[in-house]
Amino acid sequence: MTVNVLELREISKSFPGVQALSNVSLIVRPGTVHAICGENGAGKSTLIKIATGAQSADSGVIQICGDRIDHASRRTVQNLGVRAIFQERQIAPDLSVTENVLLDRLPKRFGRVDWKNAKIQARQRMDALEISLDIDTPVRNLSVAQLQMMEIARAVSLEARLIVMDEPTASLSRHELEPLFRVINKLRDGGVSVLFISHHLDEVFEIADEITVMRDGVVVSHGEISEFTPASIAELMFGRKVSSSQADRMSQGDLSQPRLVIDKVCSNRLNDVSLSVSAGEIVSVTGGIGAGVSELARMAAGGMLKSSGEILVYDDSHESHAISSRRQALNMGVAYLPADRKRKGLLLERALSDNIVLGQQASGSNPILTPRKVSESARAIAPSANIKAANVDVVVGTLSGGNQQKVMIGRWMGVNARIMIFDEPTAGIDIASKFEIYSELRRLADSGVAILICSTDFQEVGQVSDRVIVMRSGNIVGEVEGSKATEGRLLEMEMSK
Amino acid sequence: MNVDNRSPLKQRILRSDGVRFMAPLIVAIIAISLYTNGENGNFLGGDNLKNILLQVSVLGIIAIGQTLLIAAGQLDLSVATLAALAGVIGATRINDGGSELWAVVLVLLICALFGLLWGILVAGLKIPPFILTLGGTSLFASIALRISKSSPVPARERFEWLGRAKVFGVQTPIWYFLIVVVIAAFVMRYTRFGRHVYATGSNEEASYLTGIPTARTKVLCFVISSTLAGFAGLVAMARISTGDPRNGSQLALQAIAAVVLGGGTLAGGRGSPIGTFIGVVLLAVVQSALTFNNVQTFWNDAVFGLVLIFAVVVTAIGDLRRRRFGAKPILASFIRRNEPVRVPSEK
Repeated sequence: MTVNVLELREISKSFPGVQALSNVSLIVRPGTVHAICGENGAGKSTLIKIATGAQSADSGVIQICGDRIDHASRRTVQNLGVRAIFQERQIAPDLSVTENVLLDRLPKRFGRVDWKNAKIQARQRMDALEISLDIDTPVRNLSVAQLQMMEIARAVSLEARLIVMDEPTASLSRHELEPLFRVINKLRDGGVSVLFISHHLDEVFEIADEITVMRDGVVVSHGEISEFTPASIAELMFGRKVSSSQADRMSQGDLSQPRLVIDKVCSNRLNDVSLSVSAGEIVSVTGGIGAGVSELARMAAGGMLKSSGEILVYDDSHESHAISSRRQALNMGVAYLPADRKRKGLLLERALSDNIVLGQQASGSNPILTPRKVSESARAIAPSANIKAANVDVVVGTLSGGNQQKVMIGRWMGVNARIMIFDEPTAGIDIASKFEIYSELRRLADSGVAILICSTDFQEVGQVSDRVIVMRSGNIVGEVEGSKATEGRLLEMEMSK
Repeated sequence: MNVDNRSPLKQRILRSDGVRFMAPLIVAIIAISLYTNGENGNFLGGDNLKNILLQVSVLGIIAIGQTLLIAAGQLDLSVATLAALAGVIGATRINDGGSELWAVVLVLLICALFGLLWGILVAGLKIPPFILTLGGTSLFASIALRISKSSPVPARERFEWLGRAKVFGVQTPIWYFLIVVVIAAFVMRYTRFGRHVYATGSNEEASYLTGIPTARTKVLCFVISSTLAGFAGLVAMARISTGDPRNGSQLALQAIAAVVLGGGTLAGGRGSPIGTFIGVVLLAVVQSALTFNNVQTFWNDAVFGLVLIFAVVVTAIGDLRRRRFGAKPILASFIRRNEPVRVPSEK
């Protein structure tokens, strides 16, 4: 009987307010490709972080190649032959491929690096996996797909027995998938196991031998891939019929008059994207990570360069204005609420009042702006945005995620934004506050604001939108009415090629 | 929840940056002055006070420009040699027979252009200002030496109004310094531009995505700072009627030190003209007190360094407490020890 490469038994892990994993067990056999499926927040990432020693479990047993690990650290796990390839790349960008592959194992001769030998070794590793990469280029110049290949080669050169990949296909385009799968097959033939996360079911069926389906921190099913169909997995992932508790949602806006039109926009991440949003309407764009949803949000707000196409905003007399800079967009009443509020949205160390008036400060023209005026207008806006804080002098970094998002919304209510673009409107916000944000969104739409939501959360877009547009790898692949946008339906649309 | 209200006035004053950063400096200034006066007399005499201000007026004008830059998250190391260059050019123009006013306008224009260049390179090409202006430092020093042929240039006309005349018994450089402080304080506190500067320095990406013209704001800061440096250079030249190409090589670092003393942080988003003014005065009082107390001059730099290190350590401790316990200033904990730590309630 062969020893399992990785065995997790009864793993539990909780974060403040969330039970991320409860009694999760997982077995990876040698020379197999094992997929973990689940929707966002099912606990997939937490599980593999624990498996690779990046986080510690609250309880449970981890066994690697039969050895029980009590205090898993990255180091001990790596020494036992488990290598992880995370989404945030772990590389030295200015060193060459050779150096990155061999890293601390560069061959030495007479105490200096033997470059000739090093290159030969690096080349051998590449050839063994049929990876074609220029071993002399600095890693900075590689594409995401090439980086992944390089990391796989490095993992193999470090004698990995199990390679863990966190959404390896997320940021790859369609034609980049095939080489990746070929390398994974090579690994399997060489007896190396692969554990990977994906929520693209077609990929799972293409490459995986075994599958584990997770939902809300528990394993709902696992087994050989032949025991499943895409439909059965999708059902397992979501588990329930998604109730359409969306009675009050259809908009009363004038849908014949578009406010925001995105016309055939291309960039390095977006490919020929067109859509329009009308006053009073909530349109969501969704897709997996790497679909280009977040880029689209920033692009629509004028905060990113496009290679072709046009972004048009219609004013009240239905005249169109092309947008090419963030400032221009602001002057046309386009608000942008980024996903990463802490880094890209708020002045964290400054007061609530400073943050809430930032929109007015940016768009107004009166050169004089006294502290008294600032505080007055902040006090006027704060209640209407339902911000819960002791007072307007509170440092904004001390507020909860939900309240910070309301500060962002308040900022744009202050300038009477006509179009609001949300990138992941409820990222980092607890469930109770999520619903407050949703009703805030609907209130805004009812007051005549055109709302574009870019979100990777299928459940969320199904709940708040009038229309949902599905993207994949920078392309729009489908559109569905909000009332019909169940998670299953969206997943199906996203999977279809 | 009382969003409609501001926090209580007392709390607001205690927590304001003004009190946090400036009160300790003012206490230090008064303490040093009283001590020195007690030991030697005359320290607090009108003549000495004017002398102290006169000594730092050039540094002060440069430091105000640096305040704007630091508040915007930028930095300009080249202001010292730019000031020297301005003095040399000014003196040379006068000797060539131009009018005083024309010389001043020309110098300010040249300096503004250099500021514009830095601003465009920093904002447009995203070059780190530290490296860029380090390059500028050597460049200006060289040009100044070339123009002056490596020796001080005596100015034939004496620029009375710029460096030596007295208004109400006070030398003009002091007036210029005070006027610059007052205008800068107004601009930073009461204008849209001033708030753009703080927003840009606090979080440039967020400000840009909100629609604040961050690039324009940064460029303007560089232009203003360079122009002020040029003006300071002219004042320095006029005071001694000589354009010295080697004048004031320490000024840039001292100016940055003054800004940091006054509450600025190199990370951006903080710093105020009034704070910088007090920082400059503290540096000057310390310097003068050392002379009065007959401390040997080689200790001057050591004391300067210690004052600066002490100030940033105190600030850092205050920030740490703020981060850990909410916005509770270090001073308040000295005043009322038993006040419970207030965490903003959310419900």
